[in-house]
Amino acid sequence: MTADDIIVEIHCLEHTYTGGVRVDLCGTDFRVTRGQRVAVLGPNGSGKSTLLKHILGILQPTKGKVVVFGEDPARHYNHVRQKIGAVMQNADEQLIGPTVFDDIAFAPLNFGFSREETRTRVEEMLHALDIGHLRERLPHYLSGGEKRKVALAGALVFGPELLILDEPLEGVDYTSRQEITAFLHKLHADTGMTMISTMHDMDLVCDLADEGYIMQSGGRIDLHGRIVDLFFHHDLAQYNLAPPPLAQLVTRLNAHGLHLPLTLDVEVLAEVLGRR
Amino acid sequence: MNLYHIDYLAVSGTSGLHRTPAGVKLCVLAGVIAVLLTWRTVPVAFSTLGALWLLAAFEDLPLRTLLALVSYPLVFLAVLLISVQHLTVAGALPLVLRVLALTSAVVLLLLTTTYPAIFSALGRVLPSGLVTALFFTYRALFILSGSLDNARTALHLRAGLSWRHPAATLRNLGTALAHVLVEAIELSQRMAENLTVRGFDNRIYTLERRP
Amino acid sequence: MSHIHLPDGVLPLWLWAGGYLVAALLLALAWRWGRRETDAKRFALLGIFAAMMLLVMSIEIPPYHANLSVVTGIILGPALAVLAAWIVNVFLSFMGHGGVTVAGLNTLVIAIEMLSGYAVFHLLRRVRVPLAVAGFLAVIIGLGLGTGASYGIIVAGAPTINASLRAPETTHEHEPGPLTDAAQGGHLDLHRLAILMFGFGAIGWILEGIISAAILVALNRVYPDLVIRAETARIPES
Repeated sequence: MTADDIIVEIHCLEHTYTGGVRVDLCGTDFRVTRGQRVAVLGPNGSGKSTLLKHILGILQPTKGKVVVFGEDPARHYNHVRQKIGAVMQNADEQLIGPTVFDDIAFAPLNFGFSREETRTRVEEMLHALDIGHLRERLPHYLSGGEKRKVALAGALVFGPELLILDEPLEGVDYTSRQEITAFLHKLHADTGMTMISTMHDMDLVCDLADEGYIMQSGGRIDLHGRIVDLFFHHDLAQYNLAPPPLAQLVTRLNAHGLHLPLTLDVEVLAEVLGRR
Repeated sequence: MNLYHIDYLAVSGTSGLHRTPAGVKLCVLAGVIAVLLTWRTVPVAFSTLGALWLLAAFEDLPLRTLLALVSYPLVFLAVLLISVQHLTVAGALPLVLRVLALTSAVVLLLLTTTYPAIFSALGRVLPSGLVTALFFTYRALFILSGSLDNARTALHLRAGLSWRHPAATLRNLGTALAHVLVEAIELSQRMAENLTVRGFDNRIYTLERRP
Repeated sequence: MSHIHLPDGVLPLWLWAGGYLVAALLLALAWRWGRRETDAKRFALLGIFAAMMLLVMSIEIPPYHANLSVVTGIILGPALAVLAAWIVNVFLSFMGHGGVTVAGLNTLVIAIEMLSGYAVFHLLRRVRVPLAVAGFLAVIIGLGLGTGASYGIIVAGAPTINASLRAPETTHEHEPGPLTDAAQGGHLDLHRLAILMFGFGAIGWILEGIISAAILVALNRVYPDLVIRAETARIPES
């Protein structure tokens, strides 16, 4: 692995908010390499969003080190911002353009892309996310799922190398959820884009991440490992987290001596059980 | 609030006026204002008013809404007219007709033009910073309205609005608004973060579409 | 709110055009002063507070409607407050709530409310007047001055309004000798107008004052910095 492959590196980060609330993100070092899909998990108030904001350069650490693409993002934000796309927790607050088309075009035009290139890229994103029919709609008339797709299009349109997703599918209906998950899968398979996400839904973690960091209440990064290992080999209850129902089922069946493979893939498990 | 209703009608309409470019409609509005303020006579005001309403009927616009919106400024004109001594019908008529015609022209624009289209058109003559602020306010109106509705509902459910206890009601209203303001301040912080992440450079662009 | 609820076509050209001119100058100054905040923050704050003012105006306390002009002035500070006043008036014009031509004058009236409210509030706080009292008095004085400005505008436009109110047949008469009142046609009774504007207005100021004081007290519990030391637009870090 070369130094260029390290996309994000965080060491013993501490942040104090105005009013004195301190978030201590010390513990296991946080490191994300090119092409990884990483989930940051933890109970409410553990500092997941704070961590993401540091990666985005929105916050400046009180202590510790944050390096993104080899730079301190809070100090040299202009150097790294074009490499990072982000979908924040509330997509509604992220949509700023007057229409869907203008909103997706927002970042490329700000980053100095030509109007013609911006138009081409916007059209590509509308097509990729299957939201061409929304192009002239005003953001406040979109559904939750549509807003999320538009926000995602706006985050990807300028071709970032790193995608940050803060609770990407919170409050999104089942169909849109499936569509967005499938899109992100394909995006990763096609481009190898690095993704860092936070989420509460453990089923979703299996779909959107290969590795995970688990944070304690109060902020300490406690565990790091493959998602499968985290769900099958650690007691997540102490972090106020529950493994997905599939992992719980496999664990219980194995306790009854079934010796099933430790998998989070429904298809694999169904096939194994079907064969028996 | 009128804004949401007007916005919906402007967005969902399909009439010829809806399809006319906002810049053209703004220029026509400016022309109508100029005519009505230059020739302050009953025939000019009456014929302009008639033409505007005929246009609205021809374009199948909701005339009741138009009437409701047009009559609103008349209430305030009435307050002014209450202060007039020796008011005669002949004296008030030109003023009333002129106000009706001018308001009809503005409301016709509003019912057939989306706010973003109006702001984009204004962007050709106003500094970009001011137009950007208008766009932000427009977005914020729709994001914040939910918070205000929630506060209103909470006050109703918890008997916070009882005019038998006016002082307590006003205090409750103030406290509820303070909560909404706190939410609004936090929202502004998050919006600023989103803007920073998306490379905001002090203006909102609108792209002409490919034919 | 004491802005002029006058429709288009009532005030003379020189008055509303002059209003636009002075408002433009004030806006240009405010834009320069406001540059201290980072731009993303500035735009977000402006948009949110202008939207809040517009939304709060939908809360009717008949015959009055609430607004947050003085609270907004106190929190945003002079520079951003002036910009917010302009935005609010553009929206009011484009909601059919106020005339398009009087938007400049209305911007000045609301700016007077905001700036005087801001100044009074800080002055009173400096001499240790309790927060609620300072907020209440700031609103009363701010809205009072705003109403005064509105009244002044109508007084300035009165000759034109009176000319409009004269029946056409009387305006073209050139009979010698003094005209009777009836022959002269209607004319604005400025005394009656003052009673209407300040009398009814005062009820509104008191209602607004109580609501604003409650807002400032509640806000002070959450964001004390915002209320007490709001010399310029300042928002807490998230």
